[in-house]
Amino acid sequence: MKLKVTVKRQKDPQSPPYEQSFLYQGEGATVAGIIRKINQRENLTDINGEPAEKIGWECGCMLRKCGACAMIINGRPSLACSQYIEADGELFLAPLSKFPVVRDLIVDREHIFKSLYKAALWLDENMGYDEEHHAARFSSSNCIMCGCCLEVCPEFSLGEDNYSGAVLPVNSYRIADREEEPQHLKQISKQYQKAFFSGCGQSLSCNKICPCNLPVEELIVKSNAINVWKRRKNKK
Amino acid sequence: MNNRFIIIGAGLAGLSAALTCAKNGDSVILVSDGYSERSQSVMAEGGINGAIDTQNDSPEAHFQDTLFSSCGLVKEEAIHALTQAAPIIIKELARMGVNFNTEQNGKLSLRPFGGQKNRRTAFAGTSSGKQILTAINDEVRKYEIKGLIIRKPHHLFRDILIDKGVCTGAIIFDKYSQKEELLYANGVITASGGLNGLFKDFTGSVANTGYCTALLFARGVKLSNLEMIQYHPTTAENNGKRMLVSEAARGEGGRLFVYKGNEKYYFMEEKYPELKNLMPRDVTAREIYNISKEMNCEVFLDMTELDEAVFEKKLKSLREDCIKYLSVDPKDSPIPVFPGIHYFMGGIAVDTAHRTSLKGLYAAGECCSQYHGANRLGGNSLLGAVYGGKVAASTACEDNLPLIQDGERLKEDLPFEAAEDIKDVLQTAMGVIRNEESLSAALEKIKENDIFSLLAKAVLQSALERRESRGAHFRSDYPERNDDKFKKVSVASFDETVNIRFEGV
Repeated sequence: MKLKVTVKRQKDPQSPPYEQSFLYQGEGATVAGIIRKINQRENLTDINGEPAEKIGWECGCMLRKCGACAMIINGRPSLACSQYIEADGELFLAPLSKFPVVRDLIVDREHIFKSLYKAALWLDENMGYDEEHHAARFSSSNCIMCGCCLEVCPEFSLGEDNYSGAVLPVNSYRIADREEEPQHLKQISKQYQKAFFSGCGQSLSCNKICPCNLPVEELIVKSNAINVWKRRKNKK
Repeated sequence: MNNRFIIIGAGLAGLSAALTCAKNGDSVILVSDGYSERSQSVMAEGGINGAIDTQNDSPEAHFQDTLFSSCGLVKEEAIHALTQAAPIIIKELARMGVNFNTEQNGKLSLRPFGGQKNRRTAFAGTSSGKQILTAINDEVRKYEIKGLIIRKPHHLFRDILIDKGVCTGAIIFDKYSQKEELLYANGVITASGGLNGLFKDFTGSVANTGYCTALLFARGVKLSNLEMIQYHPTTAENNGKRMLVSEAARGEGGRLFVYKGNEKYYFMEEKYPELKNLMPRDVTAREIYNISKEMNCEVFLDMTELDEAVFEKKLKSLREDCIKYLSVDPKDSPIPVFPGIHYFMGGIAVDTAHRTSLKGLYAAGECCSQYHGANRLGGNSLLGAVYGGKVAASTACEDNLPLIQDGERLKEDLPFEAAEDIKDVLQTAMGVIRNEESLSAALEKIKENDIFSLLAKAVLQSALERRESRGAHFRSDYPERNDDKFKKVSVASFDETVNIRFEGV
């Protein structure tokens, strides 16, 4: 396979972005596999033979489990480890656009983590076992905080309003479903309405983009039901 | 109360330690390369061990299996405490909100796991590490909001501060802003994971560089059992690294075989009629390695006879990973597998209470050498991380060392990662089967004296000087276990040169 890999690069947060291309020849691989191969070259040169710095990116598990390698791949946000490239052509890589760029493909996603603790997502008292909701709570706990759903969200931006995007309803469900302490549940609901419900335009562009195939829409509906419409099944 | 601790690493062991400190009213600075969600803990699949089935199992039986598997290289006191605490820890995790698989009566499901005679591995599908981490992380948030736990994500640990033989703090480096920060504390707890970064190929996270252990070793902290590297029996190549095919596959009924002509030969079942495909990992990995070399053939893991419901309820993410990365649906076809580096049993030497050889420094999780000896049981790593983090933090709190705002650091320029040639050398010499010649030759090739080279030398020398075969360490030139000479822990220390000594357990 012969591939022209173009990376939107940036030396540091202050420097202007630029594009640089590399030639990749080898077997079909995930984008993560391709970047690793390029970075392993001893004297890295770009497609014009000019010396180049290693591509800055974050990578952990290579298995869609850690969320580190989220980026824009040919115009679409995804995990580098989840996209296979197996035919000749061009590959265009850019950092997620909604977060501040640190370097090359690395962005600072602090906002995601901050929004979860502002939302008071912890359990004070656990309601205990409930088989019926197990699958949804399991999905809620599997969110890898990569930020792909925020990239495609028309409402989300890092502005003053601190709109959380789908990360909050996805993660809120496992807590809202089980929290038994009424004051805390109230606090969760209040923040939920402020940080998510009042801002969501229901475009649902987040639903299909999740690289882990989480049932985003289902979790939004379920989190809304508890946090906004106060519908929660009574447990045994 | 009111002490301050630095914790290096925000995976399960680090989070568990942070929670323990915060619950004690102490504050924590939690330093990590990435956020907890990025840690290697989320890759753990199979489950966590604990004798919660009181009718058919007991902490004593768990203790015996752990001791046997370790080949005698663990402190009995430490694993006794671990196995006694295990059922309590699992119940605590369930209360924290971990979505363990359960039976219809609400009791936790347990799966059989390698090297264990009873069912005692609680699990959450094949995402056990992720599910446990999420729940502990939710719990940690409670203390973050109170200001007791302060995170320093995207920070790399660079050096410790030592004042008159006591660790008084650490120097950390913000990868994003490129700025250094100096922190003092009443103790430093390292929970920095395994030594992946010394190797080319492994199942774990590529973000684990092994820097922390390398730095501490260069600063005189003792390491032990470095030669004890676990090869997971069933891994496969995925984009230039190894991908784990969880032991859960065999726990739920998967079988290992090779083709003899057109016949499937289930070699593990033939040779080990009691535990069959679930022998301890060291044995299974070696059998796979040997038979593939002897017969010059591929070894397959066969899950085709498992029910659809088992895949759906218990092996869902494992199946998805196989389809995605290996292009094989394990329900339809057997998967070719081969052993790959998976876990480091050895690491920073600690006492029963998780104190290192340097006063004021504690270690927990995969970076330390405590609960696994020469071979780790599947399901004991998540347990060891959660429990070890707790013990290390409790000890640090109890030791109640004074805050000393002074200390020396190393003056030299420190690398961030091991050089590529070191990785090549170790990958080759530290294989499933080792010998004097290749280990000596490898040592000759390590010429530099940077912190990673020193650690690489310590690993090679430990393997070279253990002239016997025990657990994960197999020497073709010394194939027998030699209890007289080597029922001992190898201890590596650095003082101008790398020294290896064998000490009583």
